[in-house]
Amino acid sequence: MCSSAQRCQTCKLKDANPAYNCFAYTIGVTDRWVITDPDLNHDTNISVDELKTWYASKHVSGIAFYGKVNTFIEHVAFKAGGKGSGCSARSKLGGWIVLSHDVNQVQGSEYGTIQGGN
Amino acid sequence: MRKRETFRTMAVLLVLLFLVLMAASRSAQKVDQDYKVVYDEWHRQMDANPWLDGPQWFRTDVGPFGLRNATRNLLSIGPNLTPLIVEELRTETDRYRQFLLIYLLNKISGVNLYYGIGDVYVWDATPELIKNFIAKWDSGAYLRANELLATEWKDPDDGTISRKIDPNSIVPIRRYGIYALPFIIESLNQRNSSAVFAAYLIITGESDQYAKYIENPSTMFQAQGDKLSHIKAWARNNETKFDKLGALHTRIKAAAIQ
Repeated sequence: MCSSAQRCQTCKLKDANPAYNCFAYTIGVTDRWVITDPDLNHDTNISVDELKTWYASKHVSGIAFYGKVNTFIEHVAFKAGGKGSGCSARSKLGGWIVLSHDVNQVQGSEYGTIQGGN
Repeated sequence: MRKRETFRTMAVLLVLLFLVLMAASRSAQKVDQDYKVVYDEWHRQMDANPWLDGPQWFRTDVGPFGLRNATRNLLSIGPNLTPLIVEELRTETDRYRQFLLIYLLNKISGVNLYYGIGDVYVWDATPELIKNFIAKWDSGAYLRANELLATEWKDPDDGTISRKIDPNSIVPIRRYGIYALPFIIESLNQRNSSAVFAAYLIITGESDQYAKYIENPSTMFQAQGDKLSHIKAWARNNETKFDKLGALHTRIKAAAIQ
């Protein structure tokens, strides 16, 4: 997953931890997974609008939303808080590591492109 | 003395009868061991790709080819996989795997345990959700979904099809997933309910159509016949994915295929 992160001076911020995922990480939760909790219309997908509502309820901002389409967000990242030049963003990759990266670097075939943010 | 012996014999017979009934209930929903091989391979691939996040768990277009193939093979089984998932839920103790399994259950059979549970994280509620589900499954409730839903659920649709559908209003139907299909067909035979049809769409995995439909049900599948035709086409095209579910298969076949 770090294949496009060569420009980063720092890649891994935290060791792999299967106890939580990217959505949990962005709300400061490190002991559980959060997936469909923001899914307001219960369609099993999380949209940009649903995430905006959910993050507002958690008083969390500065998040980038990644996906192939804006009705199906697959990954979220803090736009700030990364380490190193060109690595201002940070996010957790599923149950794996916390990564410092450029906000555009995790875009690609796996996570899609930035569809929105708050 | 004789009375006591008679009583004991009766008690033994009753216990035996109970055991036979339980076994019959389970054998009608037996686990196919070929599915277990597919399931184990999918799990092995999931473990090897810990970077996958929830929204990607059932995608067939992300990750290495081994993972894509394993996911494709698993999903291709369809609702016939349900009894195996139930057995896995019965014995799994790892929280992450339990969590993964309740999402798999929803994906495979539309049986949704986690919407409408109130202001708690699904993760925290997972053990309790599983415990309640297993108890309900073992009681035979899933094979009696038709009669149970008739009393457990009230259709919020008053016939004014232009209104939006509240996702929470159809949660009771979604708890039964594909096992609610006979109820859905029967209900739609009686009245043109957009709420019931919305439940059908999401239970059968038509999430995009469902999302559009609940926002404006008056613009899609307006006529009762349109709704029923859609369901019958789905049943015909997917019969091989639920044909090992015993009585459920028989009921869906009678109502939608024959």
